[in-house]
Amino acid sequence: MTTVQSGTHNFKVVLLGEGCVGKTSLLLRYIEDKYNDKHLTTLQATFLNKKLNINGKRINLSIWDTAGQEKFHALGPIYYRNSNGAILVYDITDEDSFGKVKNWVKELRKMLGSDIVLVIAGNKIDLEQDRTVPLEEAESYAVMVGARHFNTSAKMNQGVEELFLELTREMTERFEQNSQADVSRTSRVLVVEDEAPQQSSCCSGIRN
Amino acid sequence: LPELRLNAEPFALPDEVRSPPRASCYDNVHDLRPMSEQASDDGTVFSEPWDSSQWDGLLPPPNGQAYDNIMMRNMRQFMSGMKNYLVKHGEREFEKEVEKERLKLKPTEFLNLDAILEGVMHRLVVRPLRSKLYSLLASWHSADVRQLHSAIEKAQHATPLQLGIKESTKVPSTAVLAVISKHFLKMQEADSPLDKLENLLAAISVMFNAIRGERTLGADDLLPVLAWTVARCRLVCAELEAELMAGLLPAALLAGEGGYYLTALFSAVAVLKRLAPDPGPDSTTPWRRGSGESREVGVAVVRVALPDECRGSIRRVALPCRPGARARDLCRALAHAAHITNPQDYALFALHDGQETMLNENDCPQEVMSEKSGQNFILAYKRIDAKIAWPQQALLSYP
Repeated sequence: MTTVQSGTHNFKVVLLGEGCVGKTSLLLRYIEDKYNDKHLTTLQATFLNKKLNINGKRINLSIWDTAGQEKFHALGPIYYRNSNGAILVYDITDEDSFGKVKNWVKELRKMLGSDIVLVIAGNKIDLEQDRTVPLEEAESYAVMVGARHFNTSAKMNQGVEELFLELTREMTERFEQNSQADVSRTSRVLVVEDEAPQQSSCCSGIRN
Repeated sequence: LPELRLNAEPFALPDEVRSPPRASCYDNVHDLRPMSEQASDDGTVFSEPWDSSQWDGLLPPPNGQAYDNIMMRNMRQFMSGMKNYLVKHGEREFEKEVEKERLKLKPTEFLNLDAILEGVMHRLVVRPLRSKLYSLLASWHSADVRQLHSAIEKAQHATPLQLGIKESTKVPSTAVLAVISKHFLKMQEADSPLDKLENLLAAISVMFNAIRGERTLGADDLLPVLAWTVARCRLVCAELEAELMAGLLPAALLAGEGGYYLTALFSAVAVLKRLAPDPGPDSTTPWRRGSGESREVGVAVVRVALPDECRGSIRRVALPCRPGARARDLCRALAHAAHITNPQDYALFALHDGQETMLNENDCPQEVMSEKSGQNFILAYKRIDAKIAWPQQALLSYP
């Protein structure tokens, strides 16, 4: 669901992964820069908005959390439909959770093709000593399916900002490519692309 | 008065329901002006008095059972069209009224015309049609309602754990449930889908407040607790209300927070319905493919190629499909998804090694798919007369 309203790109991002991999913590860390929320200010982390500014473009992310339990897997399609991006989270100490990520990738590619930008997050790298998912395996898998791989720790605040930034950058790029492709197809005009400007960002979070 | 147009091409119903009285759902659009001129003093499009019988053109014919979504889409299109019309062309007193109101504004205030007009549309369009819409929804979803009803009965005896609620998560107390029930009741009573959504959000927010503890709640907590709450509040009409909101709210709203919690309500209904599986082949939920049952994604969701003739590009859409659904059901959903206004010119085709085979409207696409599984085979929805050279590259380039 990409809509451009008064120059703002609206992107829908869906958060997928097994129950205990830390999806909610990642989201909270990103939006509020908090890990263990003892402040009780936060009611929920199921749906969150984040506004950012990348290369002068205003972007609004709507982040949809999904239930990770296996019994809810079948509900996936009604959550990920019209998504521009998906964050697939696994726990590096839990091989099963990586298997679940593979299932999601397969399903998303089958259902949404290459329209959706995929990012894989190996979470809990603060528990590196208990790692059971080999890093090389995860990274080469990500390359194979055309997804970016990030090592994250919601607890130590590692890799989270980078992950969301890269996802947003790719979604914007994809969106612009698509609209350019549309223009060049309909009007048969040759579009000469400028060099990509240096990426810069400044982020400010708001919560809903 | 400028000509009132909603849609460049009038939307026509499929042949089977195109019974003599009306050729198209939009026939009334042409009637609209003369009718309103006759019925009113000031000759404006929106002049009173209007009664619901004058909206009959927006309604599907009485024998068409599956057209509640068509009706809601027509209503939505009409409301959006009217809003655009009023903003762009104005009406007799419309601009004057806006000016008058603007003079009253403080420097820090503004008029959100879109929001105001949306509310007006709900009053003028949704309210008069309310009872017709409900009876149509109820007849179309009668099997779903029955199923949810028996599921809710079963859920009364289920423990929170059985519904997937973590042991560490609280469930709302009886007192809290009473408050939530009130919001659910207001949701059902409200005419406007916007008011309905607001009451749904209020109910969910009360629920969140009641169950929050030390940690922040994610979707893992929300979904089962919402299912439990819907069951305890005996919200048998949950699905009808959700369908109504999803069908009538503007798309921009559905992409945001409201859309998220509406999706949560749909999922809670789906979770509950699993407690009372319906034996009938036709009334199963589109996303039912949970544990133990067929795991193939293809059973619940079908991918169809949609060639865009203007752009020469192929779009692929995935849509939920009930087991046993017919090609005509799929076509209807596809026409809706692709905003095709002349669905009678379109059909579903099976593409196999460059060969196109048109499916009959009673064919079951999923059966065709399972027969051909593993082969270079795909479904396409295209204009029957369109001559399309499909790409040589396998259309199924993804696992």
